[in-house]
Amino acid sequence: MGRDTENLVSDINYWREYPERDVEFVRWYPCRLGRLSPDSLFKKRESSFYIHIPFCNNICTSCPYNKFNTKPDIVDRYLHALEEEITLYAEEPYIQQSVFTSGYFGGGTPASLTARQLDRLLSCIYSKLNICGDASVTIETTPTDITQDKAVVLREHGVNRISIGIQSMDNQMLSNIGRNYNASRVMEALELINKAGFKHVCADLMWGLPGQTEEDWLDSISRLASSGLVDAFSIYQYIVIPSSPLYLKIKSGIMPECPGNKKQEELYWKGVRKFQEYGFKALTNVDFVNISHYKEEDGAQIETFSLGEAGGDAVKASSASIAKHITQSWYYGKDMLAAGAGAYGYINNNMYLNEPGLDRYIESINSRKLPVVMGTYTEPEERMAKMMVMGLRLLRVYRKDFKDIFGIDMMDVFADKINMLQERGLVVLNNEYIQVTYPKGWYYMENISKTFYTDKNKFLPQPNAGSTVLLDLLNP
Amino acid sequence: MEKQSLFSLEERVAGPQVFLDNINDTRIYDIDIRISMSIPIEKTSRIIADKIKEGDKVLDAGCNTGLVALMAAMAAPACQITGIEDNSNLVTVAGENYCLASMMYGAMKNAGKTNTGFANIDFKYSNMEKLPFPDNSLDIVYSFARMHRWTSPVKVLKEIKRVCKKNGIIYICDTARDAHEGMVSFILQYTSRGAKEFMEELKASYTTSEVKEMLKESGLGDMDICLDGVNMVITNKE
Repeated sequence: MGRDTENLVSDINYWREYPERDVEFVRWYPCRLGRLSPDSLFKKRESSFYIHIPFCNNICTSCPYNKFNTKPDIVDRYLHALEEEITLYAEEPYIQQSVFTSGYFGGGTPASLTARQLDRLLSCIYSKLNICGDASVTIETTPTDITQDKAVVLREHGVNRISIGIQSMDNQMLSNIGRNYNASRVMEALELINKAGFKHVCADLMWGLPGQTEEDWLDSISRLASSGLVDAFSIYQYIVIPSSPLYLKIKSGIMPECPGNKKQEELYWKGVRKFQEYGFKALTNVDFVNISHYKEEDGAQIETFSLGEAGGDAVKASSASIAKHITQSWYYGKDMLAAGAGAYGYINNNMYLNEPGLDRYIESINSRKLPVVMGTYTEPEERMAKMMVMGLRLLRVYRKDFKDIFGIDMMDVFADKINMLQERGLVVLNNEYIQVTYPKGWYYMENISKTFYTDKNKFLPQPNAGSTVLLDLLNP
Repeated sequence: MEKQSLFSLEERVAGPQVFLDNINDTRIYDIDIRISMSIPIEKTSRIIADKIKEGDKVLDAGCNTGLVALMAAMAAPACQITGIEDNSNLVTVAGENYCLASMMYGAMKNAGKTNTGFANIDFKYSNMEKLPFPDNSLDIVYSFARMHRWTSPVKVLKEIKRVCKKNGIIYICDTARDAHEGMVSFILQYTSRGAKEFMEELKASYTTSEVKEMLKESGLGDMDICLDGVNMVITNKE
């Protein structure tokens, strides 16, 4: 039995440890206060945006994304609806509380719009959404769609990064896959992009093209990496879509076959080493960046880490503004406002897809309804899984970052899965982070991601943004 | 808590294939499946062609619009293939496909570009429960994507057993209603046309355990069944 305590006033000692009985009536928490300004009350939510422009002047043979051929009338109706959609979002108090620190224009080919259309669209977006001054905003283009006046318009509005779909620097390869430009046009495009003041240019390249040799794959990389006009690469494996015209040509022997699986693997790894040779550092197992010529604006250096003996270096994604958009979404799981037909977004713990069909999309907007048709709410369990599934694609997930977001260490949730991956040599775990191993983990990147799928998601395919057919066929 | 299934495939539901009532709808169906089913059609025709030996007599039991049989006929020319169906529109369309295929082949042959041959192939209408062949007369009996549409599958399986030689090959590939739902989702989302029709056919299909029962009943109980994607493959030779 403790000391017989009297009420508070007869004794200044308000805090008593058991077995003494504390007598200070607890009516408030927390107690550790400091200076606070009214700005803190309504802190803005950090978000990114994604705008989908589903039009192309020359549709690529292997493209899986939602896109249509450009036709002037439909493009104008679409842009009008897109501006309406953005206005609808901007009217939502939730969106008014969001500040946009990165953005992305994808498609299709966003730069297939005219300079005037781009100007008008960007004006609308930048006036309706709170986009912060140093936001990282990217737009996709082909080597043919970008022109000087478009580049000027983009820079004027604050677009500061270009993603250019080059695929190859070999003219024969480009012809095989039906691209309507050649290597010299690519260089012209890169020059004009550079002249317009873009410091960040990401080049898309593909391996596994029909008839591709090791020489033209590595030459493509070398030419661009040494040009000084490209500071990032994204590489993709070429897929021939069954029964597409190219497929039929390959089957009937007109078009050379794509390299076999073994050769494709070789091409990939040799490509990776070629990037390392040119001083590019890994962001993911298919994205490489050159950070040698700049440091972050606020003076913070971009952090890098080693991938092991033969692996070269990787970039700590969360320290590099060049990776802002991908990091916000994949690593931190922050909101991404998505506008446009077939666009994918994430708002308020909901992953969502917009109606992919142009007519239905426009119809929805005309009835002042956001064109959201499919998606799912993500419970905490799913959000934690998502940080591992998507975050590990950036090669490292820091335990502190996971804990800061979820309040619990990743090993308290995923010990079994992480231990299994470690045993298989696919990841390493220490007190600070979990990291995908090089080269074995890189090879099994998709397996690693899928290990963290929750049971509900196991065995399900990646959703197809161009199709809502499931909606009619799912169990009610 | 048990995971709720994505699709309602617990019960077999076999509605009519409305497109088979009108010849033009059947033709559109044929055009659609050339794309949406190109992969399994190609795969099956290659498997069948590999099994064919010179002089073999082959039956396609439920030849649909004839695509598998025609591809096998070109790949394995030294045999005799009969494709049968119990729907006259399908037989007509199969015949139209045969016409196109032989025109193409003929063009190459007449220009002296090929000498590889084209199998002796016929498409005919037949009641599936009374196959127009004597006992023990066929070297290979196969079926692709049609077993679930046989009105009395056990009767047809018994007939298949009857007409196939004692050491002949039986190969049946059909959609499986107990296919993994991830696979089903993949097909539905990535097939450019015909997702609803595919779902209808899947709903009308059997599960591997239902088929096991049917095989037992028809005296084919020692055949193997295995799941392959959204299909089941039933074989007597490995």
